[in-house]
Amino acid sequence: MKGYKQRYKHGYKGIKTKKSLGKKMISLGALMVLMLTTMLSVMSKAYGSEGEIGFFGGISEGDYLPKNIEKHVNISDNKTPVYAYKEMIFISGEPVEVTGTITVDVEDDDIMAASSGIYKERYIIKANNKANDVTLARSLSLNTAYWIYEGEFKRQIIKDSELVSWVESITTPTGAYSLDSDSAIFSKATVEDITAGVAYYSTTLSYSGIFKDADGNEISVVVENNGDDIYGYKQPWSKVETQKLTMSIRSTDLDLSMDITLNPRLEAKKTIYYNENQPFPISFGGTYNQRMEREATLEYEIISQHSNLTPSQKKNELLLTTANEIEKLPIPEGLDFIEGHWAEDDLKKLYSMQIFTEVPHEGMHFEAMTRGDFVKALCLTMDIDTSPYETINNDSQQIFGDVGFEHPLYPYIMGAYHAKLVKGTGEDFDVNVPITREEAFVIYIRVIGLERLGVTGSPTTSFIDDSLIASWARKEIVAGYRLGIIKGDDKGRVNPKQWISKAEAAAIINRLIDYLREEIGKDY
Amino acid sequence: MKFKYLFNNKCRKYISKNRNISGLISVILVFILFANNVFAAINEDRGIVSAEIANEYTGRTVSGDMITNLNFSDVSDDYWGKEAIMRMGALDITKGYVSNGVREFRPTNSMSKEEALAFIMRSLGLEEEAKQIAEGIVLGDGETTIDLWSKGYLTLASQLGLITAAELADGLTADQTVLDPEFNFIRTEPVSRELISKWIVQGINSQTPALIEPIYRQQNVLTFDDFDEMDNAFIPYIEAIVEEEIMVGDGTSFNPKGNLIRAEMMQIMANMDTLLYENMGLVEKSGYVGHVETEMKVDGTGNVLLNKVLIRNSDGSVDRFIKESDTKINGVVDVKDAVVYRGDNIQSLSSLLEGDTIHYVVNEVTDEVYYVQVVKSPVLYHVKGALEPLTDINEGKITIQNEYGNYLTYTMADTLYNTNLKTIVFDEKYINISDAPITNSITLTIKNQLVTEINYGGTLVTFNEFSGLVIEHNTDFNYIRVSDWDGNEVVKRYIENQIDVEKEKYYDNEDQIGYFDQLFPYYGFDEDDAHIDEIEVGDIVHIKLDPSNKENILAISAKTNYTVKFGEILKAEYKGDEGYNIILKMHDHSVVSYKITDNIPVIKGSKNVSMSEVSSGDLVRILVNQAVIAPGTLHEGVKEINIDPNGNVIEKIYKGKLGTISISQETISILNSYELIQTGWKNYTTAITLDISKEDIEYYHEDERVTLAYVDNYLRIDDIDMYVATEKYFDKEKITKVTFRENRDSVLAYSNVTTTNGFNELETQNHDGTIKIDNGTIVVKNDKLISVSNVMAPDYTQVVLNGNNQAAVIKVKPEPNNDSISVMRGRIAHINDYEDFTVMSHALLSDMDWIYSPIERTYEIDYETIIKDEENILGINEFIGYSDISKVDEVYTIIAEGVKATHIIKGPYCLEGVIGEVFEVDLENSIILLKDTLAYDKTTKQWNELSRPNSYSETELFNESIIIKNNKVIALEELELGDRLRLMTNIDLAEELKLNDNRKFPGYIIYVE
Repeated sequence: MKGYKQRYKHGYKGIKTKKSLGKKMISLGALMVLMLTTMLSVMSKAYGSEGEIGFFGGISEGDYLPKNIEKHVNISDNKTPVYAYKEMIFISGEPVEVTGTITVDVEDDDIMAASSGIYKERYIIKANNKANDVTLARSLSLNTAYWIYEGEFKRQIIKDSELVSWVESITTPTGAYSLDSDSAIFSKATVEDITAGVAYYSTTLSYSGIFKDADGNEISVVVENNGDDIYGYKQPWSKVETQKLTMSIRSTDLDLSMDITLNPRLEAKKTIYYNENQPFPISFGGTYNQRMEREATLEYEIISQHSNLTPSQKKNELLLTTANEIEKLPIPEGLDFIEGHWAEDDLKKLYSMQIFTEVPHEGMHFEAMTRGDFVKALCLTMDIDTSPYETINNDSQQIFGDVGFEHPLYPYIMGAYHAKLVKGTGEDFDVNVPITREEAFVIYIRVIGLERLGVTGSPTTSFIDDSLIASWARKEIVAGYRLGIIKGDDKGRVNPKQWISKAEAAAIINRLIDYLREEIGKDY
Repeated sequence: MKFKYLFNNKCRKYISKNRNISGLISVILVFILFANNVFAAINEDRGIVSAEIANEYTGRTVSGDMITNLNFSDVSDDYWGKEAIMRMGALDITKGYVSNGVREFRPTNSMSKEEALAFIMRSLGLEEEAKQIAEGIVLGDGETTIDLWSKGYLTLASQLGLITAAELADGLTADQTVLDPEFNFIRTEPVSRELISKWIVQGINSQTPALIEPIYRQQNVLTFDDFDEMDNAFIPYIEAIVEEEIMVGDGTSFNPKGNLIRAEMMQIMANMDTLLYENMGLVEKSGYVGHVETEMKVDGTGNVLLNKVLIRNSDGSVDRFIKESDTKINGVVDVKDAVVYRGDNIQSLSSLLEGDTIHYVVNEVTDEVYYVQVVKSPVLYHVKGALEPLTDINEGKITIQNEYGNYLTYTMADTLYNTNLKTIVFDEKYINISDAPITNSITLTIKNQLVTEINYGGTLVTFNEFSGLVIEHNTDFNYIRVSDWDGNEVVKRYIENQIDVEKEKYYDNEDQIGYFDQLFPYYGFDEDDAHIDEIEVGDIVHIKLDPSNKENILAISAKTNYTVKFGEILKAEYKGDEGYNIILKMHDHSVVSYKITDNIPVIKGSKNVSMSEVSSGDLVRILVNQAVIAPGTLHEGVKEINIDPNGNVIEKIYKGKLGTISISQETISILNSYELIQTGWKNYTTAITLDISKEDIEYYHEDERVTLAYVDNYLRIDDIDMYVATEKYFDKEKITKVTFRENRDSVLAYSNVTTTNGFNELETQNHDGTIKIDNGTIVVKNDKLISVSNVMAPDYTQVVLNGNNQAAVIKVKPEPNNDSISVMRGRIAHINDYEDFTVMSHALLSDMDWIYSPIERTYEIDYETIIKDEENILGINEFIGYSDISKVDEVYTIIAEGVKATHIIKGPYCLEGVIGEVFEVDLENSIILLKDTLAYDKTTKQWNELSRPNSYSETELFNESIIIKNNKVIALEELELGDRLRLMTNIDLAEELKLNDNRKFPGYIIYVE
């Protein structure tokens, strides 16, 4: 009951308003938002971390995204991941591809448990090229300090890594090179921006070391970001990391100087497809399958002049893929009434992915989607952690007047609140009120954290019913328009004040998932 | 005692305010007449808009400066004399002082005698007369001119009898220090209150005797407790001046010997109003503001902003004030305004609110309005402004800055705040005072001069600065239309060469100078310094306005606001002077067209290229400047084109039968597959597996688009062939288009297109009849999958027919040509290090002949020139004409483009030749396997088949070998199967085969023909 008491401490009257998602209320709400006594008690779901491909211009297969079944069965093996690995070795002056493994041991599982701390990162790479008689062995240990910064609609993790040890040796037919550990410098700094549903990050990297061959000739290798940072994001439907690096190899002893640009990239995604059952007398028509895909790619180009290298040595591209993993999703049942409807696929998919959970019933596609149900569906879409709110204990709080502990949506609304998708203002959430299109779009853009693209303030939109759009919804609607996920109808209207039916809600959410599976990664 | 009076607030009571000698009654009447309906009328006087305008009064040019100049730092808002000072300022009767940039009125300074006389003369309308007198003073004997500003006023005062002749003489004495204060008239001495009383009465009396005259029966003066301090000579004047309420004392004392201070003088003048106005040709009127509107006119000479204020005056007719802000094209701004005094602030005409009750002073002759006094604001009204810090909350005060930059302080109703709990009510909710949204826009509801409600407006506001998105920028008329964050459209002007513009280029990451320029001026290169022309529609701008003219922009800081889009070029057309026009297929398959002007950067890979390199089929990422001009109207312009050099590159074309389809692994297998090479189908394979994970793969059955499920279910037919195009995907390939066709396949060799209808038909040199193209036809040009409209005569084309005239595949490539590259041998005469070298004579290779020329030739070299000997690649620093590695006198084969040597190779003199078609390349051992080999016979100069049953041969390449294809030296791995080669060698292959049964020969100079 603690939260309940707090709610009235300042004499709030819990004025009922429909604007609790609106910007106006939120800005003012920010002034008076309740300070919660417990923070960060919930861990955010991990979808693998940055660094799965290492930081050496190589690529690894990386991890698959978590399967649906992992929500129901604990199948985590706690093993340190070892991935297939490829890298180009340039130190001898002639590029050689090596393949092997990378062990990525990043002990950041408990990172959200405290607002600051230190964890260890370790990368071990063993790779070779038998045909060309080249081997690579590298071991890098880092200590990474971090702290968490709480924002209004998102939180940030700021990470800073310090070199503990770096051991590396490369043997080629032209020479054997080993890193002079004393000369090694390694600096890596990351900011992770954790929005309600998607965690984005950017890493700046700079390292250098001096290698020595058997005759004591020195070769310096400097690797840095090529203008851009390392970028990536993680969310339940896809993850991407893309690195743009430059490597400069210099040796006056060996009269070698080479500049290389490298662009390693890792992408993993979940896609969905339908299997229609062949046998006619079977209890269900077909199933949705989820396909776990992943691929790593590497483009490199030697930009310095080397007459002895062929065009394909100077510039090449590598691809590392593995077979897709498949899982079956539950059969969407009881949806006969929607057969042939425009939103049949959308609704069936959402039921199959267990994002829609209401018992299907005739005519439901005409019913209005309520604010509470829409938030619940988005929580399920983005795997927002609701577990801490599923059991009520002494620390449980009530933030919204109309979402009490016993309310069936309590875990979801609280999960969304903790994920900073919705803001608590000591008022009602209006959980049973139909959601309007503009409200839906605002949450929708906020869940992927891209409202930034709408530019500050409340700009004019290009929709002809612009005047109907509330000022607090404009930024998000412009962002959605620019991303291509909010579009007008055939008359160019966005119909902001219209409430949405469950069929429309299904289409809107399914479109979001499709965006998150592929399109979002396009510019990485 | 004197000081007490000077600084005591009670001072004001010596002088009455708002006294109107003759108009007093009428003013009161106005109040009586309007008191009942003035406020009721505020919202109801709709008729005022359509009513006939009785008088129109325009502001005056001088008033704009006055509004600024009258903001005296030493006249506080609640100073008792403020209204009089403002009024006199507005009527040009007084001015203040500027010291160290601070405007002061010095209200408590004593008024000297000469100043007092000057003011009286001025208020009597005698200023001009005084001036003429000053100029016309005739000097007497021994007199010298003194440069005295007041001499005209003093002389006139003496003529009117205010001062005596002796006093005038004293007054005109240059050195006032010689005078005795006891007896003499010292002009710079303070004037006493009793003396000024006399002068005023005498002065007015001299002009209009009816208005005032000394009163010799004492009534009023007796009520003052300092009656006995008054000089007897002055008492009749004091009596008169008190009677007429020009000066009144504080109710108990008159303080006759006290010095008159400047503020009091102003109040006196103000109290003489009617007289004053009469003498100045002015009229005072009153009424209430019924309607306020704004009009903007833009034309070729500039723009004019008109603020129109409609007043229902005390006669019941309608007067109109016009504030005119005329901005000329050259940037000169004329503002015609009037001083508006509201409670405690000096404002512009545009500050008048509907419902204000006003007194105003106008010139009926010139139809100008001089001064407006707001005597009463509406009972209930709203003021909007930026919240200032709540420092006076304990006194219940709240201060906002309104859009004219004035600070307005109001008293809040005590229900709105609680100083114990430190809370204040915003939008009907309590918030902590420390959380109050300082600098944000708020609206105060004011009822009976008390703030009763505070509402949050939302946006950050500072009134000399605002921000938004540019929706129009007119560089002809120099104005910018901005949609601010509240969605309001604002038009502001600028002066082209005075405006300070900063704009961060989209490609710059940050301000390298790093500081807020306004705070830390920097005079070096600032990459953000920009010209106003660079401000474009869609930009985010922050605009700083000229505080003295809010229509004018002083400075702009801007940033681009671009959107990223992805698309595939369907067509790029050159439109002459207009630049290019590109048609793009966007991600959602919508088709859009953009104009591309010359200055748009085009980037391919990591290099800048020209627009002419943009070709159909390219995948591009474009930066688009997207601006919403109005709801429903979007303005778009391309700002950068980034071509994906690896995107949409067709890797291979296959033909075969449909095998298996795996949805989970996203693969398809093709049985009995062939690959298309230059000479036709080749590389038979029983089954190959290809990736179908690409989005939007196009499947066709003949002309009709079908789905993969349809393919799986219905296109497994024996007699059907599938044609598959794959695109390069890193070091692998992915399917991009599949077409199923049912007829017999035949391949037409490369030849030129003769005609095309640009749509679905073309003809080639080597085929009779028209070749038909449908949606399923795979059309590849320069390795990109494109639409058929991009094929035109005389493209060099290979056509795969399915059926007699139906094209399954059309492949266009550049016609082979090695004309611009020349190969020669020469003996080096000398070398200029890193620059060039000269051969003493040379032999140019033409077909199979080396044509000798004895002429010296010079070739340029640079770091790109590849220099090889039998063993090694030499650096340019090893190609020198001295020391033990000197290359002078040695013979080299030189490959040159014009005068630039691209390759300098120490190779053998090749007189033999071989021709053959590549059917296999062994990259590891540098061997090319050839079929259909012809050997050159030097003596007959003819090409002969190598051997009849089997004309296969193989050539080995060495360090000094070079391959020339399409005017470029290429690497062995760039050779394609089916390429036809002409090889120069030093072995007679025909002889070799005959004598040694050897089909292997070294290839040195290899042309792909």
